[in-house]
Amino acid sequence: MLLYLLRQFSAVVFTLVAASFIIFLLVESSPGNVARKTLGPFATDAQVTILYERLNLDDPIIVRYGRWAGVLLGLNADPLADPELELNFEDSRGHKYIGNFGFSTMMKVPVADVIGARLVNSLWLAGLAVFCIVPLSLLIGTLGGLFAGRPIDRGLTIFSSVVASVPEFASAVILMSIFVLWLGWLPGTSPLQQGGTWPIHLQYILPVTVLTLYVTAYVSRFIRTSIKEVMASAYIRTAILKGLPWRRVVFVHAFRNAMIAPFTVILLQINWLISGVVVTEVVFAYPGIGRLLLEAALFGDIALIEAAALIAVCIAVSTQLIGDIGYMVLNPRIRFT
Amino acid sequence: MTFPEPGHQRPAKPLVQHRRTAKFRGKSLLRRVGRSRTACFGLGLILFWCLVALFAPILAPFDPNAQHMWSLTDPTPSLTHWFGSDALHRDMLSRIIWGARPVLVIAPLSLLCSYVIGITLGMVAAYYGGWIDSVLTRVIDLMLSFPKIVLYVVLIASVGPSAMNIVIAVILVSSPGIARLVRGLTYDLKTSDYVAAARIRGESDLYILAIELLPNERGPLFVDFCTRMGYTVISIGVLGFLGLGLPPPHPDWGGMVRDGTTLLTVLPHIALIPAFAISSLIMGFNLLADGLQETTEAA
Amino acid sequence: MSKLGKHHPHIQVLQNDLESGGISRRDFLRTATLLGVSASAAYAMAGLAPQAMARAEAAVKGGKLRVASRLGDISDPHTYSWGQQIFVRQCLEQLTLTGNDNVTRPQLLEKWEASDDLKTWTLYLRKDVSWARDGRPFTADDVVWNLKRALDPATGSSTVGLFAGFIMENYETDETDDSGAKKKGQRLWRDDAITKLDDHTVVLNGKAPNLAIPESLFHQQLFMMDPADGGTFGIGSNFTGPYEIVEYEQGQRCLMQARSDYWGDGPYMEALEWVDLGDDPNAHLAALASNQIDGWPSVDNAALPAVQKLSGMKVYEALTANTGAVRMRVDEPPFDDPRVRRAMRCAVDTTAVLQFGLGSLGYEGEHHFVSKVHPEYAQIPRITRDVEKAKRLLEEAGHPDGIDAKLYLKSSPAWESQVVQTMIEQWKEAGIRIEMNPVPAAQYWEVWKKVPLGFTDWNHRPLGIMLYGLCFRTNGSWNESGYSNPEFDKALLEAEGQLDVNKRRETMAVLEQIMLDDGPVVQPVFRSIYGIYTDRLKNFTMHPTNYNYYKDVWLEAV
Repeated sequence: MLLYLLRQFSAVVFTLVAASFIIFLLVESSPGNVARKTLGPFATDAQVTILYERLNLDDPIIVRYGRWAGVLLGLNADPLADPELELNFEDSRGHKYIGNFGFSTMMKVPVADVIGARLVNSLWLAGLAVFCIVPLSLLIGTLGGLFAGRPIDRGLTIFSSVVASVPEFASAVILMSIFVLWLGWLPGTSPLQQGGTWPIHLQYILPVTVLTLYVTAYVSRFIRTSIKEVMASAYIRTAILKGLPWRRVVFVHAFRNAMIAPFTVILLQINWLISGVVVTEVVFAYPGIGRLLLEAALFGDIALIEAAALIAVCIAVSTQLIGDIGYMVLNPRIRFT
Repeated sequence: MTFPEPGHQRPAKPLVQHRRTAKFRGKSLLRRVGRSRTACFGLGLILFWCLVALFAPILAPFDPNAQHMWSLTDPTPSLTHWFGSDALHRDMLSRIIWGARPVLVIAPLSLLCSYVIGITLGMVAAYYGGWIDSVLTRVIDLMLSFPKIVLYVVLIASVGPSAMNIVIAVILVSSPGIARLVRGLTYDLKTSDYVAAARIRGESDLYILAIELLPNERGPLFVDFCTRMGYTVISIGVLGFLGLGLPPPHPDWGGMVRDGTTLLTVLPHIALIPAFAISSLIMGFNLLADGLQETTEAA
Repeated sequence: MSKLGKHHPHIQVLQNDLESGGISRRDFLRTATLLGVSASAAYAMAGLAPQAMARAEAAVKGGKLRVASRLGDISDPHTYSWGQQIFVRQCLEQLTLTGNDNVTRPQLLEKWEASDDLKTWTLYLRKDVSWARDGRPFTADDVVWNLKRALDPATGSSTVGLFAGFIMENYETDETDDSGAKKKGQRLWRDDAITKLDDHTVVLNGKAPNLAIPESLFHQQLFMMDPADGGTFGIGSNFTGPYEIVEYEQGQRCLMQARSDYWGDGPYMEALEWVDLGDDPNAHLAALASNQIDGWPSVDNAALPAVQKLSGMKVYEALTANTGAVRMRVDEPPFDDPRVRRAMRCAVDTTAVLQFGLGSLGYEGEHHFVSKVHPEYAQIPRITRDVEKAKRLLEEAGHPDGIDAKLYLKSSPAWESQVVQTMIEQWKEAGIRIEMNPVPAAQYWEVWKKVPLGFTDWNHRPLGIMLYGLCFRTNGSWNESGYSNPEFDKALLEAEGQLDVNKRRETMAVLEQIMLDDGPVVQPVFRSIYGIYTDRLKNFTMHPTNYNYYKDVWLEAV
């Protein structure tokens, strides 16, 4: 068991390192842009050339990657913080610390200042969404699976198929036009500002609804299939024949076995809910990490893109790891092979 | 928008178990579709849009980019102009019709390429095993660990939006998942009797891969294709909505929804009609996949 | 001697012209005030009632106004772009103020005087202004420091472009560029070009006459900062204005608090909150609809119909010379041939662009940047759409099959994209095949001067020739087209110094004609700009450039 964990962990580390290299490659492969983007559109060509030389941008990409990794791990100071460059980048944490992603040229502050808050916001949104998704999809999926083939199942299946076909941006726009523009019951944007007209908890309703609709429709299908299979299996039939009360059969025996597959599916969704909900964040102006990545990518803020992308990969890999471990714990058959 | 990439933590799908009995070797896909009402309906939707896209020049009443005077008086949907006009006074019906083309060209094209690449990688990895398998699996896992939207945003925002770049992005995003699926399928099948028989006969590896193994994998691959098409259509719509899709003035359903959201209170049809169009196409693929799944389970 | 004591000699001429009907009242107002007559006196002389201002007694103190605005980096006021100064304007002030009526009034100045030959300008500072942080009085030293810094090419301010003809000279520096030639630089033409006479008087000694100095002092980058701050502005910096920045999160939010010891009228509202909602008009619409903000100062024309449907809000309109133009680089083929440039203009139907692209929310442009709103507008025969002529011109220039090019523009606001798409459809008929390449605003500003074909929006300026000086004079700060025409430069210099409105119009006609024949732009429309605020906001009028001063407005009690 311990060996397995160690192996998984080292795989995770390897994946992160390789992923960070790929991200770096995608973003910084053209060094000319790096200098220009750091200084912004109003800098003169002379300033760009100076920065280009200072940052040693004609070194091979491996070397530059090594330097960046060094800054990230707290071994080197970020070259952009060099006071001689007069870029006025100040970092209250000092020059060398673990997790130093560098400076955001779009926001003019260290990346670490910006990304923390946004990540927390995204976690909140994902958490609330999961809080709604799990019971709802369990309900729909279980009902569908237990009464498979019957009208209620058909109805639920058609409903979830339809909802799953409506992309996030379409449902967000439709919901917004109904609840904000027409009825006026809910706030149109969710910038999470205190002291506004709309209390913060109301600001969460629309984004969470959009996400819940989409993911529930999707996850409930898995749960339905899983329950249906389990209910048809031999040991359940045996339990029923044995005379166990139906409720006990379902909740104690069927459920535990049926939840194994959906559990991992839900975990994958959590991964998406944190870093993939760019559209919802854009439509509702929610200050999350997805929108941050989009704005950074459109602006060309290299350090921020790298940081956000790397964190997204980190989350993805961690959820996969938790999923693996969880799956192993839940499924005794796998555990003992 | 997530896609259920075949994961090592997911249990073996019933499909695989069934296939051990090689029961599906002879079943025709079309017959399976025919047996499910859902699948038929889905296929119908898809074919509808394919025909629309194919016959766009004949069906569309106007040039999709031409601006019209009639729109200045009444841009709303009416009997003479069924879908009304958009904010730039262009006929919506024509734009929707022509807008089916980019989606129905880019999505299948890029997916087909992804399948070619994914199948090759997956089969090679599973068939030969050993260090080839380890290396390829590592690479595949690495690519799969990137959340898709992150990859899309970073790629397209850095190289710029164009049809070619969208195709490349889709290929990069989809191939790993396909490779993994194929790898799993091939692993299961490579120990089958008919494969052993072929080897004894002295057939080449390529023959075994292409003629013996691949056709037997077409069931789950086709279901995967349908679901993946749905997700690719969503992705293309999302890219258009975020402003990373085809540049204007090309009609692009996602971009049309984006343009229409500003005037949602005044002229809701501008955003809602393309939203409906894209949802119906996605629904077609989802229903087809569902139907195929049903008939597989029932068998 | 004129009726009102010692005035610039030309005032008498103006009055005579006004009485004889030679110039309009608007021209009189503008020119008289530029020459130093106070606004109220000028209005009286013209026989007009001054702009009705709601009485200050009705003003209600208190309340907070929440306004949407992009919140960029504010650290260098002398290089501000339009978006940055619109909210900092509540804290930092300028020497003059050109209002909605195109009349320039003093702000930090008390009055000014121009010499008879318009080469020497004496600026008299107000004596009751003090800096907020230390209570130190605002003096001529501060003004001289700010002016010198803004006119120093090293600062990178476009103020240089505005004052180039008046007070700057070109010279050869000691540096050489790549080809070995000596680099050209700019500097003040005389050491005492900007001098302090006493603690409250500054004198500008120019080398050429220039009528529009007070208007130029209102340039959006010429803010008065405390020299002790070294040219950087932020929380805690010194300022003279009515509001103080208490909180500032770049890209998110800015909170301003009213100052109790402000030298002028107001401020009435206790606090101003600025919220950055990005570029997306939908986010602004949603925020307005759900009462998360009270105002959106610059509504995207494409969103106007939706905005007009909101309840509890009032929409303000200003007819402006705000415009956008397709600009061709004159050193890149095929646009290096003036015939191709003319063909681009001939192929466009400005009426159709106005109707289809801008939804008729503006009026037609004439491809030379000067509009009927500008006082020196000279009416010359327009270019009308002639596809055959365009094709012929292209053929003559050696492109019988037409031309292909890529046009760069900002992906938002939407009106720019709509105007361009309309023109692209029109150009197609003449064989001009243009492909649109929308990029995010930040990326556009990186390349706007270099791309062969680009679409740039221009804010309203009170004078037509201001844009000429900034954009089409050789080596102008914002000369994105590389246009350089000595004939144009000469006429421009002449026009800047001309006092007589009618003579100036003649020179303008010459300049406009050069733009039509040879110029590097296609400018189809002028855009009306719109702002929307809660209907509880009182006393607000829309400034054509959105240089709004929120100290003069108040919120009705709920």
